[in-house]
Amino acid sequence: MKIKNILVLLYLFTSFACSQKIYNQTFEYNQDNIKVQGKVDSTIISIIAPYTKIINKYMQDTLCYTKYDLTKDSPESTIGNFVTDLCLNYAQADICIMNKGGLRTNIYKGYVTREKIYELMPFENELVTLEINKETFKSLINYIVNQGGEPFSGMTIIASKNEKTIYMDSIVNIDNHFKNNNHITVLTSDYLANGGDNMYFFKEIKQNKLNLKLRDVIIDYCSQMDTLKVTLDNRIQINYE
Amino acid sequence: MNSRRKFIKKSCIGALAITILPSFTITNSKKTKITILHTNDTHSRINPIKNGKYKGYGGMAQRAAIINNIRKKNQHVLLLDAGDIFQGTPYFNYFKGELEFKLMSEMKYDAATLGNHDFDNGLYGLAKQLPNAKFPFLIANYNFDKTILKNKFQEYKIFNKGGIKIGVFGIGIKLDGLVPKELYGNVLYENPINKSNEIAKYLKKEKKCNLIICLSHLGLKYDEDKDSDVLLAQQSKYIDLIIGGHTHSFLKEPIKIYNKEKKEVIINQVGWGGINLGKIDFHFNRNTLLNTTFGGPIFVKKNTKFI
Repeated sequence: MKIKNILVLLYLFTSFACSQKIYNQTFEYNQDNIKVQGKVDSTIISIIAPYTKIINKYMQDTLCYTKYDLTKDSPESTIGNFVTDLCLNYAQADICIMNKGGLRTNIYKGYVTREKIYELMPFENELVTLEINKETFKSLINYIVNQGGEPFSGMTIIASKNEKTIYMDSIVNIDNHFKNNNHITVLTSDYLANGGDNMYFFKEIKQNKLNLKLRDVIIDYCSQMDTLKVTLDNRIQINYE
Repeated sequence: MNSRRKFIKKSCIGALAITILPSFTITNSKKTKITILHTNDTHSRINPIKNGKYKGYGGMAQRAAIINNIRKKNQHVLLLDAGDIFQGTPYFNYFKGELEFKLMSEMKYDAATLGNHDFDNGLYGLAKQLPNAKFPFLIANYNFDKTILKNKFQEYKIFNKGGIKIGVFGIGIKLDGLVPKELYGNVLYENPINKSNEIAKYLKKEKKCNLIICLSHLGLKYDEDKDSDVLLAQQSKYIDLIIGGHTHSFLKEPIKIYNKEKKEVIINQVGWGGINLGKIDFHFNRNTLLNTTFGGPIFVKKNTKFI
């Protein structure tokens, strides 16, 4: 009887040890190099075809040309400057702010088609203006610096940042603005104005709707241009302490 | 004294027999390989990408061909997606996700979860396209009870492949601050980590699943204190694999994280746009998971090879 008990215990012990060992999964990384024939699936192709035909009627139009790649970067980017600068030309506002996450692709050197603008700005977002006070403006600047830069136009931000604090060294174009005004006009998308991408500080502010889709504004601008001119101008400088 | 010696002798033989036992079962074993194929953030990329770094990569017809090929060579395949199927090309602006769902159905996806962009046309927009999806959407931490999508989704699904029970459940990202309120309406958000642990425990203990997979749209990891796949893995107990999305992270190989019990949890994510197809093989001996192998992300391109 005693022996039997010990055997059971031993069995339990070994099986426990065993399952422990097994459960700590080993993970192997194989360089398989198995070739897969890359023939496209003809059923899928035939399903796609009629949809593509409808889209291509309109999407392959060339709007303009770009000599350079317009890309997403931080703190400043060519794609961000391109979009926010052109928007600020379309509306009566002091500054324009967008978000990196909302500009979905790079635009590479070459002809800019309508399709590329749809891929850059696939959302149905509309432009709005907001009158913001100094406090909200500070929240916005803090947000931009904390994010390591977001696309904007109409000012230059020079800031220092350590782990705890952000110091605004100067905000060119805007520094003097609040001496004479209580408010500043911000152009942005309805998505951000509704507090999207955690821009909660915009949420309660009354929106002036421009009834213009951001994408349509970009397309309109591009179709008036022959060759795009976009530059980086150090509009945001963050010194990390 | 004599009886004691006899006892020791007997127990030694017993112990010997027991140590031999595992190798005996292995010779009599039934090995099963479960192949998990996965995508995330495909973002309406129907055709291969036309420009830039990933020019020529992706494309749903190309992906389908690779999947068919893998299915031919592997008996037990699960094809999963971790959300953000919608939004990114004119196909979505024009057809509102109809084509994406039809093609994924044609490819025989087994399940998907919801990403934040799958709400881009609101709850009605999603509801309208659901009949085109012949696969279930799994989402455990969004409560749709007070919306038009009540009972349209399930928290988990159990797949039986070659005698192995695979429990798959879905987890979504916090919608507030990310998706406009008017688009997600009265969807209630529940804590993703608590909910995951609850479902995973249920799948393990009650449903006796051999493999537990979380389809997550939380995002891989963040600098700030925000729920992510890495946090979920660290705080989990029963999850074996997290298939992630949202952060568009290209991983050369899956990440291993130790959970609460110091067991490994695997996290994998394959960028965006269907540029890569993820493939992870789980090798079972009867019902016991032996090891996991990964051949690298498969770049979806004509003449694709595993790298």
